[in-house]
Amino acid sequence: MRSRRWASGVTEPSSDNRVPGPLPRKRVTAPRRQVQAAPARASDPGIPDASAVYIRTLMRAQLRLAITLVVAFLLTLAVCSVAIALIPALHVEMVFGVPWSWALQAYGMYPLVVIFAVIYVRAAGRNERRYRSLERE
Amino acid sequence: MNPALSISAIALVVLATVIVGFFGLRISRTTDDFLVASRTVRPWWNASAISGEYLSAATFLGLAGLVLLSGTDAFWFPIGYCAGYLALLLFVAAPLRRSGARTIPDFVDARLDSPAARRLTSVLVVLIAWLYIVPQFHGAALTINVVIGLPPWVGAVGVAVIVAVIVAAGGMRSITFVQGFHYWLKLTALGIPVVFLLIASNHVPTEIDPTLIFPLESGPGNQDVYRTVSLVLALLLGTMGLPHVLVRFYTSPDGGSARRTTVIVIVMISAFYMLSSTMGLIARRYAGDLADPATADSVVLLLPSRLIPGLGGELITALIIAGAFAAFISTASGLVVSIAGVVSQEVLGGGVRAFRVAALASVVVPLLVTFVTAPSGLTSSVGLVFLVAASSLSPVLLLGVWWRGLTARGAITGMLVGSGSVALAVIVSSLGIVRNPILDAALAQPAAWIVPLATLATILVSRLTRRAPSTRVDRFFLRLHAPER
Repeated sequence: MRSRRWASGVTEPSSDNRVPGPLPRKRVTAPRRQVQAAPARASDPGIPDASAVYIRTLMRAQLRLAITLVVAFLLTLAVCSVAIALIPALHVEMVFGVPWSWALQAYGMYPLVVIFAVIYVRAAGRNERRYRSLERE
Repeated sequence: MNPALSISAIALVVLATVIVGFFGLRISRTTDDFLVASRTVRPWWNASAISGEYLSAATFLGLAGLVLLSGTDAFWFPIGYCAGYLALLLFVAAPLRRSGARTIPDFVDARLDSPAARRLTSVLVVLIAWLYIVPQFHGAALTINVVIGLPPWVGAVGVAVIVAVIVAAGGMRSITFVQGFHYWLKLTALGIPVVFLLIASNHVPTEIDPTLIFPLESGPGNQDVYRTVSLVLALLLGTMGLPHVLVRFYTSPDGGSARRTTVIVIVMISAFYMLSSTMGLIARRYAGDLADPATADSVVLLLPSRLIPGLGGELITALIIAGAFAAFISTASGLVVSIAGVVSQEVLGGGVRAFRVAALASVVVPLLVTFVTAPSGLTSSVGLVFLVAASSLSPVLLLGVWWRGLTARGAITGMLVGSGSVALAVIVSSLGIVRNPILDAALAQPAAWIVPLATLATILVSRLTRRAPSTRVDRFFLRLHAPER
């Protein structure tokens, strides 16, 4: 935010009032590597034991949640497609001039994706709240 | 077709894009602004931008064409694109945001501390982006050719110039504005025509037997199970490996908002895909004569004047052209931003000037490729991009986020095995020398065997090159998975 005002040439009143006029423009460049890896030294104290246990528990819970939901989603998708393919009435009966099987294939899968996404966001947030309350203790 | 209307529609989109881009430019002056919009973009606006960037020529023009050509098989493409965001949400959205990395190579380097893995990832990111830009240029070439009658290269060069100028001038902040605006433009430019076409179709009597328009053999009952499963796997995992999708998540303020943004994206792209699918269903009814690989991708452009005669049809066509150009420009510029970010940091040493030079260079190569390749179906050429991403980058990303045991050598092996197998499958498949139907399907839709193969290779080599557990990885995992305060 600060650099933005600087760069657009807006005069900022300097604290000591000795610099008249606009501040000199400063070129801002990116360091080549953005993510500084934490240095690994022999004397590195590491993460406290309790924290390490909590974060492992959280990770395991999140991974379990994600795998459960992706498997459930794919199973639901498979069951729905098989049902659409195999129920004969869906190929004969029409809805707005389109066979039901075509309409379901065209529109029916998106609500499934949304439902699974919402379930995940809620459950993942719950896992994180549990982690936070453990960390605070 | 009215060339004057079409040209003004394109000019309006370009003008609006430049104005919105310039509006962004005034507040974008630092490298942080250029690359990740200073991480201050709100979920709704960010979701519009992600959706705007994601919805490309493949779904704006290509999907209806493919529905016309091959029937309900085509619907698996948008379902897969949409489900890809679910996989991204479930496995990588929040951790990648928390990693603080700006690009996929940044993430790989921070996770594995290996310049070699970083370089290979950069090469793959640039290759994937180029592959993805080419169909956008092909789409522009086709549109200009069909609606105005100019030679195809005019459209490709025109879009390339617009994209290069926009990206070099404004970077990511203005791109965020431009693409948020483009999502709503695309939705309108497809939604209004769909409504008018549906109304018009009530007044156009069709005596054709519906079983001819929607025949059983093109319906859901007649799909090849292996090909469908393999395609869905490629699209499901491919999304998270796309360079321009991940770079967007770095603009969310924290992991939780990255998740909320993803849910909004899923809703937004679903709405668009349903409209696009409707266009395909209308096309089957009224444009059966265009069901040929050479003409199918132009069906969305030709449909309105068939159903709505006179000025009304021409205005609606102009609206569709505006939306199509928004699709080409926004996807291509998002991709150019993502490779320009990688190239400027890898090759040119970073900084705003390097970013601009890299952006210009990133447009030229795909443009040359566009000239030397013949346009194939827009949707299937984008499907190939997802396949490459799913096979090379996604296994390494997934394992990097969730498995402590991943090593640099394992990641490099996985990426080489994945991308090498895809190259092999595509080359052998295009030679057309395989007669065995099972082998042919395995080469045409190879994700089902390549993704497990690449993952297995990554895990095996990581096991073989295992090192002592390091606190560095522990710290990194704490950063990825611990929620922000």
